[in-house]
Amino acid sequence: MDERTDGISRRQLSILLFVSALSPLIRQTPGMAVQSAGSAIWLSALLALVPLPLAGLLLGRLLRKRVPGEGLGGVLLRVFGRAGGTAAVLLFTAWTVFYAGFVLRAGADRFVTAVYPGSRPWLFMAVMAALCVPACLGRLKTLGRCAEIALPLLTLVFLFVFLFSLPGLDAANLAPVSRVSAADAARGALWLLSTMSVLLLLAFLSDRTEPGPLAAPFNRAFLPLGALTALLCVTVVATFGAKLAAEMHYPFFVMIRCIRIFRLLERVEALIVAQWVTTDFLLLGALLQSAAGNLTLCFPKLGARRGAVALSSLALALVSGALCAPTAFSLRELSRTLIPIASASAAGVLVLALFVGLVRKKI
Amino acid sequence: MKRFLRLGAAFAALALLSGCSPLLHPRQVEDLQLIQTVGFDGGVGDMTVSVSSGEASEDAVSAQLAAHGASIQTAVQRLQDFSPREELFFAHIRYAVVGEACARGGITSVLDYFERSTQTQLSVPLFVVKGGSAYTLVAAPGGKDEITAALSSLEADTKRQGSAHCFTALEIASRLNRSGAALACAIAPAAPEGSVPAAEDGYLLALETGYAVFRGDALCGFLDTDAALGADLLLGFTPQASYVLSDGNGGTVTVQLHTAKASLSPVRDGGGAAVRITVRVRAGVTESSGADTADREMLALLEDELSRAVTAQVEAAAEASRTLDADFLELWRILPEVKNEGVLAALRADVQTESTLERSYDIYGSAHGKEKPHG
Repeated sequence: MDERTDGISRRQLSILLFVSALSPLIRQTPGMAVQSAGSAIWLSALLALVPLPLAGLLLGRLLRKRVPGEGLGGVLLRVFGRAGGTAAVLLFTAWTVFYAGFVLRAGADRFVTAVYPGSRPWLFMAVMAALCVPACLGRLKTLGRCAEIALPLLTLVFLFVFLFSLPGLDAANLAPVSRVSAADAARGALWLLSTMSVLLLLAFLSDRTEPGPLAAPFNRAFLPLGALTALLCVTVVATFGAKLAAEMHYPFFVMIRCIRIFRLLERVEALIVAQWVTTDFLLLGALLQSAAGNLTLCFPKLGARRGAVALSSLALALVSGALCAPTAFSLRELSRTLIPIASASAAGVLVLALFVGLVRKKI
Repeated sequence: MKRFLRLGAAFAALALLSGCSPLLHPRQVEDLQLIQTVGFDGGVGDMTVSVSSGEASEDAVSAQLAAHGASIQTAVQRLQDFSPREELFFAHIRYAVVGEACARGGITSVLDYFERSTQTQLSVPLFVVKGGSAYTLVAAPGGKDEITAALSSLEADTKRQGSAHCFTALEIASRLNRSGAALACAIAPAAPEGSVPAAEDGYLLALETGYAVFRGDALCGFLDTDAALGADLLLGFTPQASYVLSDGNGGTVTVQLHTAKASLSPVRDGGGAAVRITVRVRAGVTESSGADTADREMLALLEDELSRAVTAQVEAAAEASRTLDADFLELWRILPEVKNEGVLAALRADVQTESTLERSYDIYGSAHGKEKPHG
């Protein structure tokens, strides 16, 4: 990529998508999936791996004929026409801003639940929003570089956790799998896929990605994420059992709390929870950059004030985050109702765009 | 320069806002009372929590406290009132002990406390005091006679000898969830015998006495040490147990298990469900009162004896599971109908054991037995 532009390389896009998606992954995995699939959660995780490359191919096909500077938003405008396309992009933008608010709220809740019991979430939300100001005003390239730096660190964290969780694993918690639980596993797979649906919102950043096919970069994020989800599901359920894991807010962090390394080192959960600030930061930054990009696409006059648009989106996200879930219970309820429905709708719009685009020969 | 100052100020503000504000009012380590063992007695609406600090370092003085409350949390808060230190610190609890009466009433609240709290770890071994209260072991001894060292020693011994498995709160919770039954290491307070010269008057030991059996969330009985060894064999915890066998001539031969493997298979016939348990053990001779352990007939005799002893232990475990109607052996894995009411109570267990004595260490036959006639 040209160093002077705001764009990111396709490799950086893959890494940014992967690292950003770790934030919802930790919050929602195995969560509802294990409530549906029980001990067959590993089967759900394997089933979820099947449609993931299809999602990459869908996005890649939609963006195959993009012109430089055109992203998923531009493709929607081309496919659905100016009015229909603008409506679709605005719908995605509204969902993106609300989701950013939800991420702010959920990130604060993670701190309260896992490390600082009795605290109020609003302070954590305000701090995260303040951290996101430079992410909104800065270049996308900087976020891409941040993701590249965060990736090895987070990989080390996962390696550390999985390695030292091994002694506590009980394979008996993953069996048996009957014909009935195979059906439940399919439902669980849908929940796991909804966890990764945030990637569809981040795909709108493709307008600032270097030219070239994007199916492979998307799949370079989707497939490792699917594999990590499978590993996480298996580890968490093998550690706690399906019933207990289903009731936990953040089983990954509870698992870390149980890690004891040769009686030399324990209670490292605060350090690891803090690592997830990076993923929240990147996800929020990417979502708000995506929202600002979509708004300037729909209203070109705003193009000169992109920073102000991004900050306004951040303010809206902060307000929606503060209002969307007053308690941890309502946050969980939101995770299991609105989020999957909106995610499925977002995927549905993109599938529709593929069909319409193919019929109208626009893609 | 101004830019760096502004950035520095911003980062300092963020650090303080993000939960690091206690840095302004730091807690000194010496103001914290580290708690290493926690005990639970009583029941719903009337809990007693006993804690012992253990000896965290050579200079630290151990402390024991106990308090009542309507719940574990309220009792813990009262404990704090009794403590001369600024804060009781529960983040490094090593052992949990539950009194028999409390366990019989149900341990849901105890497990829930461990699951919910951000301070406690679920990987803590949980013991049940057979015939006594947790208070007796945890808080009553007072002074330097404290429970943490005793439990630490017990845990190390059971791990080394394989005489019992110290189930953690997490293992108990997940087994209760998936099988409706679980085991916990049972301990009993005992005064030291004369063979323990280091023990002082009034000092209490925590002796391992088999397993406590939970059905649902409530204690429903105990396994004695023989049945506990049988359960260990079936659950895959190979005990390095020793068996004293008769050599058929009035003497004894002691053998120690090296490996043990149990395989279970379902048997369905007209008379109802049954489970066939095949156990294969390998052992070595560790002591003999004169028997020639190189003699094939003697080896066969000893292997038969060992098979009978192991079979009796496994049958005792299966019988306990049947009579207590608690599937702590997780037989439902091979016979799913065991989860149906009444099936376990009527389940037959057909146990067969194959034993192999594979070595006798440095003495091949017998160095002090009767000489065999030559020719």
